[in-house]
Amino acid sequence: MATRSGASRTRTTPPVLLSVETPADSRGGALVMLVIVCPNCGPRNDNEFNFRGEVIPRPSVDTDPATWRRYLYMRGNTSGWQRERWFHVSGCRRFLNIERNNVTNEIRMVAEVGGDTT
Amino acid sequence: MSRYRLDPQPGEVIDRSKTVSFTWNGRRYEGFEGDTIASALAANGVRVLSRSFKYHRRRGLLTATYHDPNAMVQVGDEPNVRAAHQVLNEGMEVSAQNVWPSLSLDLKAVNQLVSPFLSPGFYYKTFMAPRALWPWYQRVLGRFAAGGVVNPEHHSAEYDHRYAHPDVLVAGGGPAGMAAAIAAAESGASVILVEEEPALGGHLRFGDDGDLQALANLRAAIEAQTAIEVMTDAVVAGRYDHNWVSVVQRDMAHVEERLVLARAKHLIVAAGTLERPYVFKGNDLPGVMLSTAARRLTNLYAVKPGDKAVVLTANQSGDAAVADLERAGVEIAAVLDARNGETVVEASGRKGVQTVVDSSGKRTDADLLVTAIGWTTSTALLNMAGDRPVYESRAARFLSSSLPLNVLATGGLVGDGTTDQLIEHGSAVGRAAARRAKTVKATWQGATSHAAPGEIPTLDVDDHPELFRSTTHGFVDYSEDVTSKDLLAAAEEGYDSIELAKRYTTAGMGPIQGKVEAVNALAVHGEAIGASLLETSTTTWRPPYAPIRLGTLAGRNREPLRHSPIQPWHERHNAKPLVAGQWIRPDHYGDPEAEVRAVRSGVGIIDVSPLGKIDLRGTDVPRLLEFVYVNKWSKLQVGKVRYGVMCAEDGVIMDDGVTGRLGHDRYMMSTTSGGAGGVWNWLDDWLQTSFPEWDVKMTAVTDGYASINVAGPNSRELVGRLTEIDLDADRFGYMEVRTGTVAGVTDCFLWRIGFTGELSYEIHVPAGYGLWLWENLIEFGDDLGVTAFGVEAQRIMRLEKGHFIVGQDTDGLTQGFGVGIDWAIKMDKPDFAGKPELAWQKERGGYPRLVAVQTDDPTVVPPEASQIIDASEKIKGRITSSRHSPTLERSICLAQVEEGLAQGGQRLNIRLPDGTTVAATVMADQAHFDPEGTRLRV
Repeated sequence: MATRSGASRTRTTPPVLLSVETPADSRGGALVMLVIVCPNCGPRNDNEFNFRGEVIPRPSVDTDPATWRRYLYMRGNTSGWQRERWFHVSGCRRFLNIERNNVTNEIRMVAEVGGDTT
Repeated sequence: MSRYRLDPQPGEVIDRSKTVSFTWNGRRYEGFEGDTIASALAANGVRVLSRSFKYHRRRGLLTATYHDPNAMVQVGDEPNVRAAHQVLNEGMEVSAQNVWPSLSLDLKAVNQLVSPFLSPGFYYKTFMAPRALWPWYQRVLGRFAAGGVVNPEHHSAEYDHRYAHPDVLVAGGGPAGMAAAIAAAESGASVILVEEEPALGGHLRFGDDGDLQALANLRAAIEAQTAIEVMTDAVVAGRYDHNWVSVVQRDMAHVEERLVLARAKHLIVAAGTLERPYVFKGNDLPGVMLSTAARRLTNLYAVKPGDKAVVLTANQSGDAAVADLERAGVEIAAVLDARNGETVVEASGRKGVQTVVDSSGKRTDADLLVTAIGWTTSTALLNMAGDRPVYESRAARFLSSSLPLNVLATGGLVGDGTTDQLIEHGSAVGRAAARRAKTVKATWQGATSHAAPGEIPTLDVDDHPELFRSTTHGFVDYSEDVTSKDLLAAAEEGYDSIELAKRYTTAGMGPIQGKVEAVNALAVHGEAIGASLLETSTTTWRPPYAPIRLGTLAGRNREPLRHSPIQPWHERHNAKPLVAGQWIRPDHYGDPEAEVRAVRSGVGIIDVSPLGKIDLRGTDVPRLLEFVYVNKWSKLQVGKVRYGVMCAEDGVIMDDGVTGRLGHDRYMMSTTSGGAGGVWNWLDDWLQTSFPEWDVKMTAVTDGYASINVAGPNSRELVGRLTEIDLDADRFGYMEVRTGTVAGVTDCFLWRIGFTGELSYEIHVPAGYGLWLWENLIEFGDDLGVTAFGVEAQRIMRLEKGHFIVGQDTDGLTQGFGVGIDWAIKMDKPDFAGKPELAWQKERGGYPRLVAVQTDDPTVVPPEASQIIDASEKIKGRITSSRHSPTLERSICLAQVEEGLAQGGQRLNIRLPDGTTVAATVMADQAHFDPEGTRLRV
């Protein structure tokens, strides 16, 4: 079991044993099919969800173009643990915050937006 | 009965009471039910099954399994059938592939004579120049390519997909896999057990009496377990994230193949080992086969593989082969024990093995040479699970090293042992897997504590000599005709990385994909560069493990189609279907221009049910509308509708439509048909992630209402015949909405809008009454000449009015100010989606504009996407919509042009696809017809 970093949060799902995973470079296939344990619907295949990517706060509309375009186009492209947003479009239609290791595909936190602390 | 068919054998799988006849290269043969194509041929004394890829050498059975590189044949319409796996069926027409004119006299075998020239890279080096000759080279070389014949007329069969959710999936049905499945099931897990061969058992199937007894016990235990689903003649093709496992079930009763997509809570890999061929001169002659192949033939199919054998053995399998062959009446001319340093140097013969030369120089006459020099671990699934198998020189094979918590390995991937030891290990793994599967299940249900994974016993490894190549050179890759000499030559030429050498020589790139040859290639290449590659590298196996038909991947066509409730009427009236995303809509009913004239002069009705409809309720709906639309909504009165445009955060137009206020806190938003889903998600995104405190309740009701637009000067008369709602022009004005009863149906709403440019009422009726309302409109409008019109007529009329269509007249770069809706974009609103980009767009200027364009020659209708060019042929814009207008009796267009060309009266040149140019003028108004909108406000 990989270690969990950060405090556990309200309405989160616990770390999923199933998602204790392997280095991405050892898996050749383009097909990725994760199990996401939706807090409302339970374990579901990732093709029920929209991936919305990194969570990026929206700047004020009075901001300068450079800041706004960072919001539109620039991504941290972290290797490792990432906080990202998914939309359970074919399920409960709730937006979720997920902490996923994009190298191993381990998922350690799934919570409705607003249901966790950030 | 043929002299090659033995008396009944204890483990035989053939049914001697049932004869099966088939043809081989046109000649009729007989086998028994249970035979494979290859075993039936062997029983008839046929030893040559194919010609090799490059040199067209005769080839016979090598592994006698699915993965036999020499046993691919054509069966009827189907090429590349694995003859050593495919069970014989009555009437099969089997023939050899890649031979000309025949298998026995293959003229392409002259390639052998020039084999020194067919060295690695031969094609690249030889056919490079002159370049102009390449098409000719390609045609000639194509004739030499391997493979069977595809019949383009072949009737495509049915393929299935199935989803499965086992607690434990076991890949491999040998003793360890079977024991694992039984133990997991006994521990309460639901199990899928997958075996590539037609029956469970692995090597026990062709083993001795003790093996057969153990197999019978295991089979009985599995039979008794209802929690185990057995899939034989099926293969685990891939393992993906979170144990998403694909299984291909072959040769099903009602479908050609079935793809099982399984989410296994735990995976057990029990794929075992494949026997490895030995590299020496003549190692591909018919009659040279692996010990497991000889034992399969004798023990499973009761076929005598030859008359006089030399056996090279380094392990128990070779020793067992000696015993089996003796029992089968094969004369054992010599046994070479590799454990004592004895080996084979050369096999020779014309059509098959005739003489074997051993390491002492002794020549022995034999028609069968059996080798048992070691095992290759089937590590593909381990690789896909992230394992990096490690080469264990003591065992002369790779073994599993590290696996994630949801995968375990057992059997030959882990070590060796007696049948009892394998069963014991498999059982322990099965129990552990069931335990872990339970933990996964509990975690999915919200549990936070995990059970310990539990200890797995280890399995010892038998000592085995490392044997790859003799002192002579021979074939490493049988399917690609790559020899050990070729690999050494490649290294000499500088291909010192196995990855490069592999691609240069194509070793491992044939239909067997390295399963049989990869380890030998690694060993030989390592020999060339003076390093043991086995110890420093591993091959990375990617899915699929075995070939999958394209039809299997595709499965059945399950693309959903959407029809409006009025579809039966459309079909009865010969509507030409238009595919619009998932919707099938009437494009027209025969003559779209006549439909336009009918609407403009009288009244027409169109089914606009696919229009997106979102019911919005709550006190904060105006705030939401203010945010997602570019225009203002806060002062929208009850009973009014307004047109709105939505932009994304980059200012690009994403959708448009009208929204009406039906009650104090009740609104109905309409979207484009194609944008309905996207807008719904867009609103949900803002409401959930940015404005959760807003009081807005949203319901998508696109399918809940059928929508009919009644358009034309007589539309008020027609709608008035069906409703008590007051339609008086002064009391129900343009851009207003009313709710009420229409044609006796309550809970309708209708709004007065004008996409077509005519007086029109869009009636939204609960979907179940859509057809009723439509038929009422047709019936009550009969004397008014009511005409059904389709999407094409609507598109013509909206173009006459200069109304743009998002995605047709806009593209992925069209920001709000580019389409002539500057009046609607309210930059004084404090915030709305895309606002900063729109501010900068306006400030920057220089963006393309959407304008109405008319050609000088009214008969020319420039095709959409025709380019607008200037005098120096520079592209300045393009035609986005173009039609012949029956109302104006001329061609009309919308176009995106550069800012400098957007003024009314501007002259343009339009380049047509045939290269000619037509002159045109930008119109002063975006509407070609009735720019003042007087027809709307009657």
